[in-house]
Formats: sequence, C-alpha cells, structure tokens
Amino acid sequence: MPVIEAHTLTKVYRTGLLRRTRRALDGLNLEVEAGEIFALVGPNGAGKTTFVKLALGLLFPTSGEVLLNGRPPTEPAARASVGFLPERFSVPGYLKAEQVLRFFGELSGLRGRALQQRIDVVLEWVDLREERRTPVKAFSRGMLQRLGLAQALLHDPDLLILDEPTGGLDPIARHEFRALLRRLNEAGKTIFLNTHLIDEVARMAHRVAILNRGRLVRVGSVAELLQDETDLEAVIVRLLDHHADTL
Amino acid sequence: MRILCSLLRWIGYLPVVRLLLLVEAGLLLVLMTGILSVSDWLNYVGYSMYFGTLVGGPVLAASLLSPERRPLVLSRPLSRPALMGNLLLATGLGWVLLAVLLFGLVTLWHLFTDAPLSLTVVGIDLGFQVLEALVLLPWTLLFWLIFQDTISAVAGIFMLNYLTSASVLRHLPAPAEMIFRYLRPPLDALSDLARNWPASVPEEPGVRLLATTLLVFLLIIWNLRHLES
Repeated sequence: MPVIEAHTLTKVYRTGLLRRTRRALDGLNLEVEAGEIFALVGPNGAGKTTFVKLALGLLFPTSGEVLLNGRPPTEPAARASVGFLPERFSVPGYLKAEQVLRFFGELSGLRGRALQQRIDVVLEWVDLREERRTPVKAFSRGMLQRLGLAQALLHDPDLLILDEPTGGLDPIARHEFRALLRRLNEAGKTIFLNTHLIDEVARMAHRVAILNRGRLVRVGSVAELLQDETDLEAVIVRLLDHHADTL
Repeated sequence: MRILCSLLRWIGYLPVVRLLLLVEAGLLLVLMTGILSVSDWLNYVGYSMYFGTLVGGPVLAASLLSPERRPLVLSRPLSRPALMGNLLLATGLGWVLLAVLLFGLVTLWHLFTDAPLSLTVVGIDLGFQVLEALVLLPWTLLFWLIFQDTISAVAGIFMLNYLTSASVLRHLPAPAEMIFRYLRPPLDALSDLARNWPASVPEEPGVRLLATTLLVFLLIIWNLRHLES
C-alpha cells in the first residue's frame, strides 16, 4: 500500500479583499511507495509546499483527497506515522536540545523512560549527543537542521516528510545530512523530499515527481527521466519548458 | 493530559514566566518582611498577574504558533482545537497553581507568625486576581492571532482598554458607545463583581462577561479555521 496517495488533489487559495482565486494544485495524482526516497521538484510556486501541507493535514483540499497510509491526514493516528521537518526549523534559542526533544516527544504521546530512551537514540542518530545540554542559540545551521530531524524521528515514524532539508547548509553539512538520510532509508524509513536542489535529487532519490503550476509534469525513477542523458537538471528544465508551452 | 503537561513544561521554559515567578517571590518576601501591607501585596500580585498575562499570553502564542513553528507543532498527532484548548487550559492552570502556592505560603506565614490577616479575604481576593488574569488570556491569544506579532498584540489590548475606558466612552455617540462598552475585556466586568462582592451581583457586568467571552471564543474559532492561509 502506498504511504502517500493523492487522488485528483486540487487546492484553490482565495486571497485579498476581492477573494481572487489562485489554483496551487490542479488535479494532482501521486503515489509514494513504502521504503523509497521520493523527491518532489519544481520551480517556486509550483505547489510543492501546498502539497506537503495538505499531506500533513495543515491545509484542506478544495477537492480530491490525500491519504497517509490509507487514512486522511486529519486523523491523529495518520499523523502519528509521519515525522515532519519544515524548511526553517525554528525553536526558541534559550531552549536546550534535550528540552526541545522532550517537548516534541510529549506532543507525540511519549513520556517517562520511553521518551528518554528515544531522545538518547535520536541524538545518537544525528550525532548531537555531546550537545544535548547546549542551548539551541549556540547551534550552527547544520546542527539545528540535525536537531530538527531528531524531533521528526522521535516517535519512530515510518514516513519522513522533509521540506527543503538541506537548503542553507554548507557543502560539508549538506553531505553529512544526505549520508544521514541514506542511513535512515536503509533502516526502513520512507523519505519524501520536497526540494528544488536537482543535485540532491540526482544523488539521493529513487523516484522523482516534477510539478509545475500545480500539475504533475512527469513522475519516474531518475534513470527513467535521464534515459540516455547525464544532466538531470537539463532534463527537468526541458520538461518544465515543454509543459509551460502546452499550458 | 500529556499535551497539557507538555505545554505546562513549555510554559515553564519561557523567560517571561521565570521572570514573573521571581517577581512573585520578591513580592512575597517584602510582604513577610513587613514592607508591604497585605492589601498592597494583593494589589501588586493582581498587577503582576494582569501584566504577566498581557505579555505572557502573546509570547506563549508566538512561541508555539508563529508561522515557522505552526506546522511543526500542528503536524504532531493532535488536532488544532486540542492545541488551542490546551494552550488556554495550560496557561490558566499555571495561574491557578501559582495562586494556590501563594495562598499556601501566606497561610503558613500566618500560622507560624500569627501575622494579622484574614485568610478568607486573601483567598477571595487572590481568586478574583486569578480570574481577571484568566479572562484576559483569550484576548491576548486572539490579538496575537490577528496581528501575528507580540508587540502589536500587547499594544492592541492597551488600545482597546483605552478606547473602552469610561472617559472616552462618554464622548462617543450612543450606538458606538454601546458597541465599545460590550467590547471591553471581561476583566472589567470581573472588577465590578469584585468591588460589589459579596453584595448582590449586578446584572450588567455578568451579561458583559458572558457576551465578551462568547465573542472572544467565536473569534478564536474563526481564527483557528484560518490558520491554514
């Protein structure tokens, strides 16, 4: 069974005093299978973040549906199987790493010894064990992102939804973060990447969906998209140009 | 209950809450050393709770519901009303716990030193101070939800308090005066109740308390429905 399913998913925003409409997603059909690293790519305004918010139950579809493990994301049980890392992981700077994890762990229903054990495990995973009592304000961007991933892993979800996870990281931090994601995938986690970094997609993703103006342009494995070519970025740009011409 | 405990812990991390606890400890100290009379102490406790709520409410809302933290918190397996409901409950429970602690300490002080005070008066007055802080809470959260900014939320409530003060209201035309009168935060109604206590409860403050609380409740629900945009 797919871990994420979207069926003719449409989201229309109404903004401003005149309630002008903007179609962020337009009849999107998509399936993410268990155990894969799936990347959603597209230019700014393509509807990627809208899709993530719909999948997390933070937005409601105008029509169509999105399901997590066969359940609507508005059900708490559906969200319990998901770990989410937003684009900008932000917590008050005076909190220590362990306090942040304790808060989010409790919001996920963990407590006591079980929570403490999970905190130890995830801090080990993201290599922040030594910094557990360090205030977050002393963290570098890379460390903060790893802490964000730790909170997403706390309740041991099957699916990780990561919104631009390596944006703003330096090359070394980005490399380490990718290695960490690969290890998590090898450990059985499904990883959904929302990104515009084609290099990241080429290095990590098993399958890629290209989104433009709320519509699905193409979905397939990196090899299927590349065919005989070597430059994934050039292929994606060409597909997007072709799609824009057909609209 | 877990969400509630978690939020209470989160509230405990906030520097503004820690500062407030220090203020309360300081006030208790000056009461016990005889610098403040009991009635002055109760007044200052009331002020600290009022201003603590005025600033602490929006700070707490910002720490949990600012645009970059909102998805992080709301994507957890709990529903939106549960979060907002628990937010209100958690903050409220914090005040109640503080009042119980203060009352307990004053009772011990009274028992050990035979300090001249009426525990009944202290209890009732503390109860009203807590109630005033509690009814201000939804307003602070509401203003934060409207402005999405702590300073603007605090300034907004000050402005509303000024616009609904008696000195301004009496210069307004009758329809506007009526609207603003009913927009006054319910704490004024509670102050009226406290002043008249234990005499018969006047009707108007009670109606205003109900009307404004209902309005705030409806506006918070409306805002929750618009958290997505």
